[in-house]
Amino acid sequence: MTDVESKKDLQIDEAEKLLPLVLEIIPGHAAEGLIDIYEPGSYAAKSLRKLCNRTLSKKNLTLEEQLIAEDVARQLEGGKLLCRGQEIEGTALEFAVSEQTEAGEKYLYVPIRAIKPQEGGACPDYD
Amino acid sequence: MRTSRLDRQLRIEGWNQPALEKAKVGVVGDDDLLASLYVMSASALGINHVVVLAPVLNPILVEIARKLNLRFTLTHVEGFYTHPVMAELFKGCNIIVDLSHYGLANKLLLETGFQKNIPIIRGFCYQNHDAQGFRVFSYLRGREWQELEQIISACHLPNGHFDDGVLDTIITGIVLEETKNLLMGQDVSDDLISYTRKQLNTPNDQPKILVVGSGALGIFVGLGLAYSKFQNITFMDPDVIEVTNLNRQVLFYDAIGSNKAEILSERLNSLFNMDNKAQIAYFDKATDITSYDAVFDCVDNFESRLALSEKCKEQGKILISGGTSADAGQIVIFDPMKNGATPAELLGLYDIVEKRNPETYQRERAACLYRPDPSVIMTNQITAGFMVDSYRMLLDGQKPGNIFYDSTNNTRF
Repeated sequence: MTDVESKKDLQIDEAEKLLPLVLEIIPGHAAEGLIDIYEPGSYAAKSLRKLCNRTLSKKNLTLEEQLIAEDVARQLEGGKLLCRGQEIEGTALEFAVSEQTEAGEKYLYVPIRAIKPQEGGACPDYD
Repeated sequence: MRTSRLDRQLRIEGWNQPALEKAKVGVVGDDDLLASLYVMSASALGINHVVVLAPVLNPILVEIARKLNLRFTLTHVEGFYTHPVMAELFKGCNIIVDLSHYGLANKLLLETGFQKNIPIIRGFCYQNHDAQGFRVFSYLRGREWQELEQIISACHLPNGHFDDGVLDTIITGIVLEETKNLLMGQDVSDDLISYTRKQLNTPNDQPKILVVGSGALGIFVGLGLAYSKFQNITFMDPDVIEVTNLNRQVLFYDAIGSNKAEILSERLNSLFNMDNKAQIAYFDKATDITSYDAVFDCVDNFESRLALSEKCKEQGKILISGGTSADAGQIVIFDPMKNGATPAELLGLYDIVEKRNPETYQRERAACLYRPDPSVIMTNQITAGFMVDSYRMLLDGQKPGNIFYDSTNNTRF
């Protein structure tokens, strides 16, 4: 149940605000998403939505990133960007959790999912 | 009749119904609901041959299984899996489903799976100090991984154990999905699928609950509420039962042409001695919900979901909203005490509905340019189970989060 914690539970202390930020936009529940890294000082004043828009508008993607970006775009046709099941209103720090690499380097991580709501019932038949 | 009943799942791309119908599935269970729920759901999905080793099965759920699917054959052997010789019972089975709560059976079955190269799907609910939850893992030969330690019950021999009808409903859905994947040669999760929350206390009051929509989600929400001892539910739905509902709307096996809300309410009243009511109506802005404490959104269209969100926000009612497709589901909770986003706001339903030109939308529906979405029993069971569990957590003072379920993902949610 890692994705359903409420954002109030996530506490970032002052020292951690100086860490780099890793933003990942994941299509649905896929294992991997589009990753963007922000240096300390470059993200704190910006809204999370703005950071997401920047990541989504990135050019010069690798082939693999291009496929992920297409999956994200498919989810966003009638879908939304959510972080741990919540609206992404606010700054990245409000949603970030502190993690560290195997080498012990600390960073802040924000996973964003592009989620398409399920309706059930009927859908348009364009065949 | 068979094709009509299964119509909504036959529409799924790559669906291989004969693989389900020809298969033989072995099940090892305990004296609880889990094996019986699995038998009922497997029959609804069109699995025709099931062999169960369990001390007892719930006669009502077995009767439903037989009535839903006339080709369904059940061999029930009363007992426990306590000796390797029991493997003979499952000769010819394509898969064995282990839903038991004693370590001896878990170990013997893994050994059988390894020796005879039979997949073992393990699912169970558990209680550990003040935590409760469930685990599901699909064992195939070669997966002799550390996860196996976590799927062996601590108690070696059959004994009293924690059981919960709502968690059982979710487990059944996930295990049946893995059964379907294996039989159809599709990928199964290679993760331990796991869910944990704090132990629930029994609520003292009997809240008045409105369940809007009495299709597959409504049925499993109704069953979950009944298993949780809620007594006072009103089911609302204007629709009548059609044969194509019967691959997932398990309580309607003999009621084609009747109103869904009425039959669901009657069935639960008679099975669980409840005091439910039915309302044959659409939910719209004029619907009065003042007398209810909580509302469950089990509808199948965004327009009604939007109306429910607005009404519950306006009147300060708890709203538990669920939506499903053939391979995914979502549970979004609105708690007026927290003043967060409603399901319609969070899911962006205003944009979606606004983009649908109402005239074109109605005309396309009327002109049959709309086709029914594919639908199966599993995602409905899983979503409904999480909806009821989220509500119980709210009543218990816990903080349930929104859940987005995806059957194509390893961890599922």
